[in-house]
Amino acid sequence: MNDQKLFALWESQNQKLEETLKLNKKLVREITKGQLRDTIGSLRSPKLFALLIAIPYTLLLCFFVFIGKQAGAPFVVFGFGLIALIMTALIIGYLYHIYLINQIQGTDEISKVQKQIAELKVSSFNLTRLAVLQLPLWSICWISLDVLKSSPFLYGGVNLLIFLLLSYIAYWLYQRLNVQNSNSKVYKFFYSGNEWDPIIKSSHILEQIKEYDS
Amino acid sequence: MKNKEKIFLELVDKHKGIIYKISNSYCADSEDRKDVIQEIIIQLWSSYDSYDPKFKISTWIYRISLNTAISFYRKNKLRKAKTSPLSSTIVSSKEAEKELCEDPNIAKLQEFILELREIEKALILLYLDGISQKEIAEIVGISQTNAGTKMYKKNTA
Repeated sequence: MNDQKLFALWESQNQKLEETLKLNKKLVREITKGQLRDTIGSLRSPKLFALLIAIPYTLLLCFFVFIGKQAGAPFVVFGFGLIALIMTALIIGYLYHIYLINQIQGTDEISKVQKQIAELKVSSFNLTRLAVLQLPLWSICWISLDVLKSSPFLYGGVNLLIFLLLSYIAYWLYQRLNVQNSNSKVYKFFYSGNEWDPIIKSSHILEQIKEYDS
Repeated sequence: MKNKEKIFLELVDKHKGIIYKISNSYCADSEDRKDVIQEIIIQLWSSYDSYDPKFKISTWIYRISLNTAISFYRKNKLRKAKTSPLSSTIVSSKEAEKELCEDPNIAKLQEFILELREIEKALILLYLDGISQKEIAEIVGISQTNAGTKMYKKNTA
C-alpha cells in the first residue's frame, strides 16, 4: 500500500471517529475533582512503603551490631554489620528513585521520559538483586566464638559449609535474576507476570531509545 | 476552578480523537484501553497547570498521551478496582468500533500498528496524523533527520 492510500485510509478512520466519538463528561469531571489516582503517584507509593519497612529494620540491625560489640561477639558485629550496610545501600537507592520519580514530567519528550522510567524500573530490579546478597551473612550472625574455640573442626566446619552453601545460592540467584535471562524458571518462581512484564518492557524500550540516539 | 474544568473538558472533547487512536494502537484489550484512556486524562489534568505555551496544544497532548500509553502496564485486579470506580469508558464509540472492525483495510492497518515496537508506533501514528517532521522530532525527542530517516525506513519496509 502506498503512502497516499495509507493517508486516505487513516483519514477515513479519522472522519468516522470525528462523527461518532463520545466523551463521558461525568468521568472527566471525576478526574478533575481528584477522585481517580494518577500513574506517577503509583510509582512512588511502593518505594515509600519499602522505605517505611527498611529504615526501622536497618536501625534494628544497627542496634544488634551495637549489642554484639558490647558483648564482644565479633560474628554478630560482622554479620549484622554487613547486612546493615547492604540495607543502607538499598535505602539510598530507594531515596534516589523517589528523587528520580519527582523529576519525571509526562509533558517532556517521549524518548526522555521513557528513558527515565525504564532506567528507574531496571534500577529498582537491580536493587532487589542486591538484596539477595545478604543471604549468606545470616549464617554468620549466629556463630558463637566460645563454641567455635571449643569445637573448631566440627562446629566451625558445619558453619563454614552452611556459609559456603548459602553464598553459592546467593551468587546463583544474583546471576540468574538478570534482565537478560527473562525466560529463566527462577524468574517465574520469584516474579509473577504483573511484576516482571514492566521490567522486561522497560529494558526493551531502553534498547529502542538507544537505536534512536545513534 | 469551574472555568478551568470547563476549558479542560472542551480541550479533551476537541482532542478526544488523538487519545482514542493512541489507546487503540497501544492496547489490543478493550479493558486495558479503558484504563489507558483514564490514565491519559488523569495525566493531562495533573499537567494542565504546567502547560508551556511555547508548544502547540496538540504537541502537549501527543506527548502526554504517548508517554502514558507507552509506560502503561496491565494492572492487577486490586489496582484496577482502585483506579476504575466506574465501569464505563471515558472516550468511546460503538459505531466507530463496529465500522472499523468491518473495514478489512483499517483492521489490517490497526493490526500492523499493534505489532510495531513502542517508539515505532508513536512515530507511525504521528506520521499518519499528518504531523510535520519538525513536530514529530519535538514530540518524540529525536533529531529531525533521525525522525525522517526512521519514517523512510518504516515506509519502505
